[in-house]
This record gives sequence, structure tokens and C-alpha cells, in this order.
Amino acid sequence: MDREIYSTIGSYQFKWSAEHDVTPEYLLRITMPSGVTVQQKTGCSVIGFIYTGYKCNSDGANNQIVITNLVASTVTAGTVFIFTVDSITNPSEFIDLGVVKMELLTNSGGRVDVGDFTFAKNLFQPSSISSFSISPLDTTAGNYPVSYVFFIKTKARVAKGASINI
Amino acid sequence: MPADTSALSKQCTYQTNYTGFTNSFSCVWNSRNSSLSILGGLAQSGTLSDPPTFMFTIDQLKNPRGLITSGMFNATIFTSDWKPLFYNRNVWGPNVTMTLVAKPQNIAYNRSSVVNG
Repeated sequence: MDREIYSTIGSYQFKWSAEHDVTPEYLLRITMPSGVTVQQKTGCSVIGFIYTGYKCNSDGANNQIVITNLVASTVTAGTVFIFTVDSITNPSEFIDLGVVKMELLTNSGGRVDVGDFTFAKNLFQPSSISSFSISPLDTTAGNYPVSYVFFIKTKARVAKGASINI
Repeated sequence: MPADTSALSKQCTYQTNYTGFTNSFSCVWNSRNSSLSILGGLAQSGTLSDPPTFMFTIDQLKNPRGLITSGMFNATIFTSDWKPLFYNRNVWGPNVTMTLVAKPQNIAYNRSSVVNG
């Protein structure tokens, strides 16, 4: 995953296994904590899945990724699934994010396996300034007082309460 | 700011035609580490698809003293608890180049001889 704050690249890799056999009619629902934003998208991309006939939906309103058609035929309990889902945006600040909930459900919504994990602390890193320029309104050497115009563009949106140091 | 550029007073002033800020802000010059701090004024700014551009004009700065290209300017955006959020990683940054020399305010001379020719 990209660890930059507010990255919009949004690819997260999951490593998950179920306590019970996974059958074709099951679906996997991943609920992200509120500090991480799931983008609203039909047809999110999943890389690394065993069965390529899967369907992925990212539900921005509920902050959930739902993957249906998980497997073509029954996969035995304990088989490890490693997959990468796009359409997730990193948090805007260095906060404790809470838990990600992973649920294996039947098509009718019955719970088969439910578990969660917590984001590691200090997982995310600062992002970068994408452009920065300065124009003095007078370029006479040694002159003062002179006004300087500053332009700064960040790579992503800026969180509340931030300050700029130059 | 590079060492060859500085501000004239601790509480620096700015023009009001700024963009990217929700509210007015304060500007403080710290001569110990030659830095300008823009404090306050930033509420949640920009969107995911359209990050903000901050434009502001700081007055009362002092130009480098020669026709040289100044050292590099660095910028860092901090969270409210002073953790770096965005920065230019000290590997690139703008500089300013002076193009004109100032006229001397006064020139005095003494003749060593007053003999004609």
C-alpha cells in the first residue's frame, strides 16, 4: 500500500483466511474505519484473487468493500487469500484509525466468519508538496521592504488546523 | 528561508489577496532559524481530486544583497500538533535571483590635488 497521508492511489493488500470452507455463494464484506475513505465505485479492482470471476463494489456511503463470486468452487477452511483492493484513500492525519472488519457472509447476509484487525501505529507517512514557487515583486539586490508572492500546492487536501513553515 | 533572505520584523505582514485559506492567518518571522510561520487560517482545504493552491504575499522581506541566486526555500505543512504533513523533502525548492543593483544613496570624494591639468 501507499503509506502517504491522503494518498488517493488507494491500493490496500489484505491477507485473510476463513475458519470455515468458502463456497461460491459467499461474499466478503470489508468495513474500513472512518478515518480511511472508501471511494464510491462500481467495479473496484481486486488483484491476486484466486477466482477471476469475482465482482467488487466499493460502497462509499457505508465505507465498505464488498466482493461477491469469491470462488468458483468450494475452497477449504484456512486457505489464505492474498489480494489487493483499490479505491481506498488514506487518512488525512496521524490518528489511531481503529479496526477493519472482515466478514464472510452468505448471499442472504448470514454471518459465516467475522473478524477484525487494527491498523499499526505510525503506519502512515507525510506526503509531498507538488509545486512551490516564489516571486519577489522587486528584484533589486539588498532592497527592503519587498513583498514576495508565495505559491504552494500540495499533493492532496490539507487537514484542519494545519500551518505552513517556510 | 535561505540565510541571504530575511524579514524585517517578528510579526510579518501580508496582503489580503490570498487564496487557499478559509480565514485570515498570522505570520511570524523567527530569526533564530530564518523561518516564516503561517499560523491559523487553514480549515479543511481542497478536495481529494483538487488539492488546494495556497497563494499569499508576505510584505517586509529583505532581498539578498548581491546579484546572486539565493539559497533554496523550503516549505513544510504541519498538522495542528506539529507533525509534518506535506513537505518538499529538502531536495528541491525555489530560489530567487536579483537582477538589479541599488543606486548608492550618497557618494563623497576628496580631491588629492587641486592643480589644473
